[in-house]
Amino acid sequence: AGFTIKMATLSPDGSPWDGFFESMGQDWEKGTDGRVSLTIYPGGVAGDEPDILRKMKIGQYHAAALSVSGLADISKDFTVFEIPLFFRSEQEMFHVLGELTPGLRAKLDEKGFVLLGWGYVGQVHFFTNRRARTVEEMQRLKIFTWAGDEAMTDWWRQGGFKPVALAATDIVTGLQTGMIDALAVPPIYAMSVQFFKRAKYFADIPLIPMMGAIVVTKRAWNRVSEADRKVLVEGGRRAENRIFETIPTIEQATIKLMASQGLEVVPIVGTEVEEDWKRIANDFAEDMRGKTVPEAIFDRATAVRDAYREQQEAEAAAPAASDSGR
Amino acid sequence: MTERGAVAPFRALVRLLHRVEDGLSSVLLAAMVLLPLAEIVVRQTGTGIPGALPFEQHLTLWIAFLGAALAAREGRLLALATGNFLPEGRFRAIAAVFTGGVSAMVTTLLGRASLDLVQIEREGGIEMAAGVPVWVGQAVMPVGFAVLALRLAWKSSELWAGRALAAFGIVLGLWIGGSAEAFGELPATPWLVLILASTLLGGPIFAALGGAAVFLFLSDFVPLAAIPAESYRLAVSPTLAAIPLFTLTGFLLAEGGASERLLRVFRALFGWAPGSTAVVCAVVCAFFTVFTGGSGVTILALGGVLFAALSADGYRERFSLGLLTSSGSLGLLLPPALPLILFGIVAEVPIEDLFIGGILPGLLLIALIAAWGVREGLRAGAGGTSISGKEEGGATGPGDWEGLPPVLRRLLPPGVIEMVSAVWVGKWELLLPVVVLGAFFSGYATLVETAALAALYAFVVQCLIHRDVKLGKPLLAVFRQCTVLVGGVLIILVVAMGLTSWLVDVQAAQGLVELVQNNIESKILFLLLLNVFLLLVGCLMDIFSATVVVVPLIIPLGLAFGVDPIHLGIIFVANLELGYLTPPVGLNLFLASYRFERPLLEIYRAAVPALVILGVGVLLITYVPVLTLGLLDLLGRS
Ligand code: NA
Ligand code: NA
Repeated sequence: AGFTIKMATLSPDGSPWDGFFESMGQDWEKGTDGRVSLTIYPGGVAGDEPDILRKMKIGQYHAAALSVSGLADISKDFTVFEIPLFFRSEQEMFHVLGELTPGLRAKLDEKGFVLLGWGYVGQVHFFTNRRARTVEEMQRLKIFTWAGDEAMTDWWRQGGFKPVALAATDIVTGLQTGMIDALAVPPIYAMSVQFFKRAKYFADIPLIPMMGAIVVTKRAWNRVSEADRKVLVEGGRRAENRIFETIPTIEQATIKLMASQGLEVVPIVGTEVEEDWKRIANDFAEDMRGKTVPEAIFDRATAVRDAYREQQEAEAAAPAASDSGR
Repeated sequence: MTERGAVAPFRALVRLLHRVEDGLSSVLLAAMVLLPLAEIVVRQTGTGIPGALPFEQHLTLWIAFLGAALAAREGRLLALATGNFLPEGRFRAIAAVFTGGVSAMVTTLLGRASLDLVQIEREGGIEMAAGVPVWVGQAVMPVGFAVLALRLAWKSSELWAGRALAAFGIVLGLWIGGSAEAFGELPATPWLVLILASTLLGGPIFAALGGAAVFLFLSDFVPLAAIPAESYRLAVSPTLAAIPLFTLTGFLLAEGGASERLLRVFRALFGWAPGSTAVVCAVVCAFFTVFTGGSGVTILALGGVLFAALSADGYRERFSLGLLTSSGSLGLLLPPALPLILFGIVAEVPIEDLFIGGILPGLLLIALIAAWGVREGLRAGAGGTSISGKEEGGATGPGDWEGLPPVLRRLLPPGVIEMVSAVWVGKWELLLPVVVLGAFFSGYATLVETAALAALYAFVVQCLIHRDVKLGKPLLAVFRQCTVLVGGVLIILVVAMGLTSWLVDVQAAQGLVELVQNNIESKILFLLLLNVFLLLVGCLMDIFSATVVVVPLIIPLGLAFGVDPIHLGIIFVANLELGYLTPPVGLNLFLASYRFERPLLEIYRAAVPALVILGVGVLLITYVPVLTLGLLDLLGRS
């Protein structure tokens, strides 16, 4: 009989990610002649990420597509993707991710998980119910933070912001009643949960790239033959490629769509206030190093990023230099 | 507990443990009230209490298991009413040993699975908050199940032989749990039949749901720790804490003189009209049920005083019985009724939208019952208040409002004086909905914080202002009663979640959607079948476990047929409200039979008119969606 890999995820049924996972499952089934198939439990029917992780350890689920917050519960190293304004562009982020992958893969392996591929949910942005462009304006708003994530709540407070720790279930009510004024989420998520109808201003500065990953428990992995594992890995890689190729485009389209439905885009990047945002993000980053983000991974990511930047700047400068020489 | 034959030190130890158990439950329930209140205060300063919400969530888990253990100690675990049909004597005694043994077996399996869960969490789990690991919170589960299993065996019989037989269930549970793989090869059906038999004979409901989950997962080779993992998930869901807190509010109101004061207010206001006493009964019951939410407290707490009032005003006995039996579930659609909160949690829809959507349907049902009462009043010539407030208790009698100036007292007609006095005396109770809904809808407090505020408010009014509930022992008794009831309900909920998890695991909802869509095309027909199905569910299951198990199945169905989830929620609760009244096993019928000391058959007959009237109301709610969604549209919420 075939082995059905049960994979849980928060990605909603019918979302772009769900589609990519479905095709990954088809790739697996075809490539292994039906020896391995995939059943997806989407939309959090198996619970939130801590529940999913717990059930993977129990053995009820074999795999999961987790966001960085769930991954950080496996290894703190994944918090490296939660540093605000750390990357200047998605290219930069993808490059650093590539360089960090072997180390992160090893961390997952230590904890009994196999990395099949990366995922990407989009750039986290502020959605606010009052117009906020400057850091000071944002500091006046009550910002949603996850109840239980004390570290996050503390940073906001130290940065002069007004965090209000609530359960996710209280977000919609909170926006409606004014208990919170703002929350930071990826646009595609804001669209699917319709947050943007209650928080009509979009602060156009990407704060954090929300990463994810498809992981399989080693216990399930060991039930798959050497040859079939190659098929699974290949399927995971293809899902990763599809996600990386399409999500940025979908994200831009989603922002346009929400704008056509009443969302006001508040420009920040490229305006005079951008420097203020960078400064406060830098303060955040410095505070995170060693506290939430382990120093080693923080420094390694910074080194890789800076080297890439230098190389990019050198490449950009090179044609300019040859121009002037002509 | 019968302790004849036990040695004295053993008895002393048991007594000590009982006292620790009682004390701990009161302390935890008090902490549940105080923590969210402290969070409201601290939030005003721009900060928060570290871990306030996670700790509150885990307190709910602890209250659930402590309360269930207490309920087992008192033999008050909720069971299907079918057990009441058993003849007294030998047969009933044998059935009790059988149900005790089966339930103890299931509970042992659940306890073992919980222990596995705690161990897995210890090996690499996460933090609850403020450095406390999650497994510490979870540890109450294996302990709670162990105590439950022992008590189920112990309470199954007065005889040591009976207890020993029932305790064999514990041994069996340990054996099955230890050789799960081997038992997985066996079909689940015989076990399910055994559990069904035990449930019909009066075994506790939580064991039925848990037993089904255990053997279904076993036969799918899924480790049983999946069940407590899901129980844990529901128990610590952020909004569930509102249920014990609102129940405590209801208990404080019921134990205090709130019912008399409210009754007096509504009678002073409407008592002049024929049939008004019936209307007043419906309104007072609805007011109470809003806070006690389908726990049956309304009939038990108010049944006596309202029945007396109806009889004195010349209503026929059968009508009075029917009215009060049905009124016990009026109000389940009005905010902040607990079934709406639970539906919101399970269906993941905004609870405040359910609150708003439920207002008109809730009022409709009250109006229908009230209209029936007016008609009866006119027919029987009953109505005008024959009992003055004074006869119901000196403290709430007319004229006890000293603030009324003597001039007015001389000038105004007695009816108006009574009206003003009654409202004045009952003002704190009348303000309760204002406080609760105001705090919630203004954004001042989350739902859980609102519930804590309501409990505090009820405490202040009943214990400090009116002093109907004395501080000290009487207050502790209220806490204890509340814990027993909450535990009895929550243990069903969290175990039912294990069964739901199995339904998720086999993707039952998707299968059901396909099946129904392939066979039914019309939305009207779908809704009608839904009504019939929910009516059956409502008369077999309590509203809470029905929500946990059935809602995840019908939400995708509703979406497939274009039924708004908020509308579906209101249909669901309204239907289950009806199910409470449906013979043979509707819960309210049994409560009424118990409270009014009448045979069940008499209650059945009395409830039929109400059943028909409310049935019409439920059909209106189902087929006229604007009743639910109109207000939401008006407020721009859909
Ligand atoms: Na969820
Ligand atoms: Na599940």
